[in-house]
Amino acid sequence: MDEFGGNLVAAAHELKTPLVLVRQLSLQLAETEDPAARAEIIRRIRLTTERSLRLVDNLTRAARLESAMFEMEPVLLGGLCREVVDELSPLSTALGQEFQVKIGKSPLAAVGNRDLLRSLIMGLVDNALTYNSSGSPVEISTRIRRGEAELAVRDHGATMDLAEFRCLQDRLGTQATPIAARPLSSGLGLLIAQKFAMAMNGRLSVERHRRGGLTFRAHLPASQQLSFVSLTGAES
Amino acid sequence: MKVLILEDDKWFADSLRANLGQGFDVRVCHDPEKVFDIIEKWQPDVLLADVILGAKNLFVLLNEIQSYTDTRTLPVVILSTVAQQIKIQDVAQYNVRKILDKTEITPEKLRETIQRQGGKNV
Repeated sequence: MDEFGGNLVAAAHELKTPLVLVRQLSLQLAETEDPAARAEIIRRIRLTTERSLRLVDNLTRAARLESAMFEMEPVLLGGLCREVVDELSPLSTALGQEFQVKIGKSPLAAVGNRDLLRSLIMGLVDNALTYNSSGSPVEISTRIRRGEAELAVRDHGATMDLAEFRCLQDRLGTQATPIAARPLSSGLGLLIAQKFAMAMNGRLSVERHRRGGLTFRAHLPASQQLSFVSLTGAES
Repeated sequence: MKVLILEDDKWFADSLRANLGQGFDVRVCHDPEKVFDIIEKWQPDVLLADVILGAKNLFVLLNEIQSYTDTRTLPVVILSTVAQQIKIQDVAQYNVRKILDKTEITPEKLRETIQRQGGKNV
């Protein structure tokens, strides 16, 4: 199968999984009379649907990346991270997960497109929520390193063996790579995140942790316009 | 009747448990690394399992179950989104009795299929 076909299959898989869950939940809803239980099922249907819609949006956006014009501007990473955390907090609560956000005191701005950057962060955090083990928070942090603005999202999910990790590293950004330890995903979300990072002259990297879990990092050009940052408000 | 559900997706597993209802004693396991312990200690009457499960493929696990005399007769029902790609004759060696499609399954069909496996565990 060529790259295009492989990505189509990955997209189909990514969409099939939540659709099957929504179908299952609706069947459960039809058999449930308890109002509290019904409300919880409806909440899960809504959250699963919203996840699918984000994926569809990102697929569309990724397909149009090459022909689209993006406004690049300094974007405060800390504020954007907090926006994403706020938006995903209903999902994290429903999944029994927590966030830990570590934003430096100094404002850190990346040069990028605000919408793309937001989608990129949303994708990485959503991915971490899916695979994080409950009991440890999903960690989101930002820092400046070697002149790059860096955003890291760490989960404490299953340990990945070295061979599979190398394969993921090699293929990151070129094709969707399913991960055996993370079976609910085809790897398409990571491919999209890499495409978004590259469109903003950045890149994605991944780190494996000995005690389990992965950290995905987006490296983006740091904005040197400190005056701009101070004008638009330091990060709180 | 004791039913062990092996399913990665916690919400899907919760939903299956609810669908099975009070007529079954149900336990859910999300981690294929732990399922063997549960089988040994709890001795379910049927294993309802998804195919794609974390680091361990279901068939590796089923092979392991088959390798022990006291667990090899455990009836297995597969519930998967890739059900159409699996032929029952190819997995019969693992004591797989039925393959259900997640995209088509109904609560009635699920209950009926699980009920049919009752008493087949030795």
